[in-house]
Amino acid sequence: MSSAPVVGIDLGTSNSSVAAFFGGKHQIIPDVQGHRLTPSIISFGKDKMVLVGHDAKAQIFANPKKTISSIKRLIGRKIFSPEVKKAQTLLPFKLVEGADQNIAIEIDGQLYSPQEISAMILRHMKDIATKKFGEEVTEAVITVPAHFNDNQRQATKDACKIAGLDALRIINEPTAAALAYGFGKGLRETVAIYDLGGGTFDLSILTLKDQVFEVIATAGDTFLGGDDFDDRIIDLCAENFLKRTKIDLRAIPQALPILRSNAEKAKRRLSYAEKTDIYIPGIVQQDGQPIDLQFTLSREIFRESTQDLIQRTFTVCDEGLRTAGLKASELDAVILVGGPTKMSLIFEAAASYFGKMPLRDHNPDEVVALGASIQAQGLTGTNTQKKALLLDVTPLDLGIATVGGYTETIVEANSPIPIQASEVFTTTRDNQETVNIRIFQGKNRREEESSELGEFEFSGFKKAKAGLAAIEVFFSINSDGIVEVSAKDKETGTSAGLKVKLSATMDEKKLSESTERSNQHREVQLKSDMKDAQKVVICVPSVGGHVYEDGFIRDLDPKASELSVFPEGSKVDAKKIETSKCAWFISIEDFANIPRYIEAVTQRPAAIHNELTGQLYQFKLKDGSFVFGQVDLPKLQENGFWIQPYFPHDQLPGKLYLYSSMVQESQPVNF
Amino acid sequence: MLSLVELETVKSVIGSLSHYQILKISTVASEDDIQTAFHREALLFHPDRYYAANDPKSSDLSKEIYAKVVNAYRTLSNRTKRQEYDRQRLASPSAAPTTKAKAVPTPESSSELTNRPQFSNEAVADDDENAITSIRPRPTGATAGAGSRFFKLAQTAFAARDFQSAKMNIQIALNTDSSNPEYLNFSQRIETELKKNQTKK
Repeated sequence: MSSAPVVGIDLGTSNSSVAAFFGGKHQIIPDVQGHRLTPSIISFGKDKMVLVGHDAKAQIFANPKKTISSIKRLIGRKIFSPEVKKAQTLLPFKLVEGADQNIAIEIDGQLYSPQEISAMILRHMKDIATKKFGEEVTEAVITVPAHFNDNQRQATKDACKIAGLDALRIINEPTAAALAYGFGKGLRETVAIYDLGGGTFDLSILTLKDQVFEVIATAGDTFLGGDDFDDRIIDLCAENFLKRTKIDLRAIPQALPILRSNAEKAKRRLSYAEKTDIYIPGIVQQDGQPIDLQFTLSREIFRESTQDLIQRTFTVCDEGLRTAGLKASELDAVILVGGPTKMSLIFEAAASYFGKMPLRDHNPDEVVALGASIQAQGLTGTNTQKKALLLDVTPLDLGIATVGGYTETIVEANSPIPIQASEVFTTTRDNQETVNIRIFQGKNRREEESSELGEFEFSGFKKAKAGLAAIEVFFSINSDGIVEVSAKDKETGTSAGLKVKLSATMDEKKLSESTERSNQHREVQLKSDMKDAQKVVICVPSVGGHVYEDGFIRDLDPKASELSVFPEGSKVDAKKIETSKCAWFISIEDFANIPRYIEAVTQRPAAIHNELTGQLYQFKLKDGSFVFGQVDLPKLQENGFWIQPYFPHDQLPGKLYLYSSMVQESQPVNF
Repeated sequence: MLSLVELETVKSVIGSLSHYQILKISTVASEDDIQTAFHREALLFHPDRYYAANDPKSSDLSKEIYAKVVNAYRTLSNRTKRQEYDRQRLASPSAAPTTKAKAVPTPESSSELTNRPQFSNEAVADDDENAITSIRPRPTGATAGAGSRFFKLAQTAFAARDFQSAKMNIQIALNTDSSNPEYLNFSQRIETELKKNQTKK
C-alpha cells in the first residue's frame, strides 16, 4: 500500500467527484480551477488528444460525434439490450457491436469500449487527487448504483484497472450516502435514501445502529434518471416547434445537443424560478432563413409532463418499503441524493410520498463521494479509529437456467453480502464428461428477462454412471457485489477442470491492450478567455418577485454602474444589467447549485455552523426580502459591501456583494 | 476483532452449531434480537474488520465464518425460512441440512423438458440417501425442504399459465412429500386447469 491517501470516487452518469480525508475531515477535492464536480464527458481531438470534463462539455456542440457523455448508461450492457437501443436514440455518437456482443464506440476508425471511456474519466479524477497530495494516488473506493448487476460492476472494476487504480471496493451509491449522513453520529435510525442520478434511480432503506449500517432493502430502476426529465423538456419544445414550423427538431442530429443543453439549464432554473424562457436563435434553416426556437416553460407544465417519471420512482419506493416490511411513516429520515433531486419538483413529490421533509443538510452532489472516502479510510485506516461497518445486500436474484425458460434462484435479492450458497449437481448420462450451467441475474424468474452473467463448464471429474457424480457448485457474491463461481467434485475433493466464463470480465490480455490504448491518449486543457471570469448569480427585484440572472463576468467591478454578464459557455454578446436595479450578487462555484446558494442566502439559518467567524447579520431589503451573511463591521458604504454568505453544513464557496441602495436595515443575529 | 487463534477455534466448531448458536441467541428470540445479534457478530467476523490487518489467514477465516453467520441470519430473519428450519431441527435435531443432487442436462441434450422429470427417478443412485426422489413413508427433516423448491417452481409456472411445467414440478414436489396438503391441493388445481384447456379444444 502506498503512503498516498486512499480516495473515494463517485463516477456518475453526468458528473463525477473525488473525495478524501484531509484538513481533519472528509472533503471533496476540487480541481485546479476550483471545480468540485467534473462532467463525465470525454471529447476526442486530433492526434489522440482528449478533453475531459468541463472542457469536453464545451465541445458538445462543436464535435457531437466525438464527444461522449452518459457512458454509465452503457457500461456492462450488451448491444442488443432494450436500454442500449433507447440510449442510441438519445446519444449523438455512434454505438456499434464489439466483441462478445458488447458495446463499442467508433471514433476515427478506432473502437472504444465503455470501460475505456470510463477509465479516461477515472484517470482524470485520479489526477485531481494526485495533484492535491503531491504523490500518486493508486487506491480508491468507487461507487455504483445499487441496482447495477454483476456485468456492470465487473466492467466498472475493469475501467479502474485500465485507469491504473486499484479499486479497493465497489460500494453502492445509496449506502455511501447513508454512510456520509450517519458516520460518527452514533444514530439509531431507519433511513431511506432516494437516489436519483443522471441515468439511474435507487431506493435503499437502511438501519443505522451506532457503527453498523445495514441495508435492509434495495430497489431501483437502472434506466431512469435526470436525463429523462431533460427529454421531456426537449419533447415539449420540439412539439411546439413542430406545430409552428412542421419541422421535427428531434430528427435533426445537429440540433439535439443544443436543445438538450438548453433543456438542462431550463430544468435547473425552474428550481428557483416559476418560469423560464428557452430561446435558441437560428436553430434550423428553412428556405435559407434561420428560424428561432422560443418556448416558455412553467413549473406547472414541467410537472405535468414528468408525472409518469416521478410515479416510476415511487413504484420503486413501494417495492423497497414492501421488501423492508415498513410503511413510509416508520422511517426516521429521508435523504435525497443526486443532482436531479435538487429540482423542487422532486423535493415536493418526495415530501408528499414519505409524509416528511427530506433532509437538506448535505449537498446531494457530493454526499456519495464523501461516503466512498469514509469507506476507503474505514478499510485501510488503523485499528484505533472508530470504523463504520457497512452491511450491504445484493439487489438481484442470482439463478441458474432451468426447465422451460425459467431460472431457479440460488441467492435471493436483498440477501446480505458477502454470501455463499451451494448446490450439488449430478449427471444424466453414463460417463458424462462435462456439466454446463448458465447463470443469470434478474428481478424476475423468466430467463429472457434476466441478464445472463455467463456459462460455466465443469469437467475432469470422475466418469461414472448417470447420477453418481456429485459436483458441488459454490456461488458466492463478494463485498463488491460481484459473483464468483467455483466447484468441487465431492468424491475426490478436487476442483480440476473448471472453466468459468462470466460474460463481462475482460481477460488479462484485453485489459492490458485497453490500458495501453488508453495510455496513448493525452489529456489536454482548453485555453479559454472565460477561465478567469467569475460565475455569478444576480438578484434583481422586480414587480412579480425576484429575477435571478446567471452568467460569467470578466473583470468584476461591483462599483461600475453596469454589469456585463455573458451567458454560460457561449460567445454571444454580454447582457447589461444596471447595478442600480440589483439587490445583490453572489460569486459562485458552479451553476448547478444555484438553488442552494439562493436558499442559503435568503432563508433564516436553522443552526449555528461551527466555523462561524465574525458576526452573522440579517439584512432586510427594501422589498421585504432578507439576506444573511457574516461580516465584521457592516458599513453601509456608498455602493455596497462584500459579505460572507451563510452556508450551513455546506462547502459552497462564494462571496456575496450587497448593494447598499437596496438595504433598509441590518441586525446582528444571535441564537 | 479476534486474534488468529480465536478465529481458528471458532472455525473448528462452527460446522456443528445451529443457526441460533451461531448468532448466540435463544430459540425464541424476536426479530429485533436477531438483528441485534447479527450486528454484534458482524462486528466480530465481517471480513472488512480484518481488511487493514493485511493477514491473509485471518482474512480467509473471517470470510468462512462470516458466510455461516450470514446464512444463519438469512434463515432466521425470514419468517417462512425460520419456521421451516425450526421444523427440520425438531424432526432430526442432529442433522445439519444437507444439499440434494440434481442432474444437469448434457450439452448435447435437446429436450430439457423431458430430462427433468426423468432424472428424478433414474439419474440419482438408489443408495444416495439424500436424493430427493428416495421413496420413504415419512420424509425426514433433511429432505422435506426440497419439495418446497419445486412447489415454488410449480407456482411460477402456474402463474404464467404453463400448466404442463407446473404439473411436472408439483409431481416432483409430491414425490418428496406425498402427504403434504398444500401440494395435493395445488396439484388438483393444476389438473382442473389442464382439463379446462382440453375441453376448450
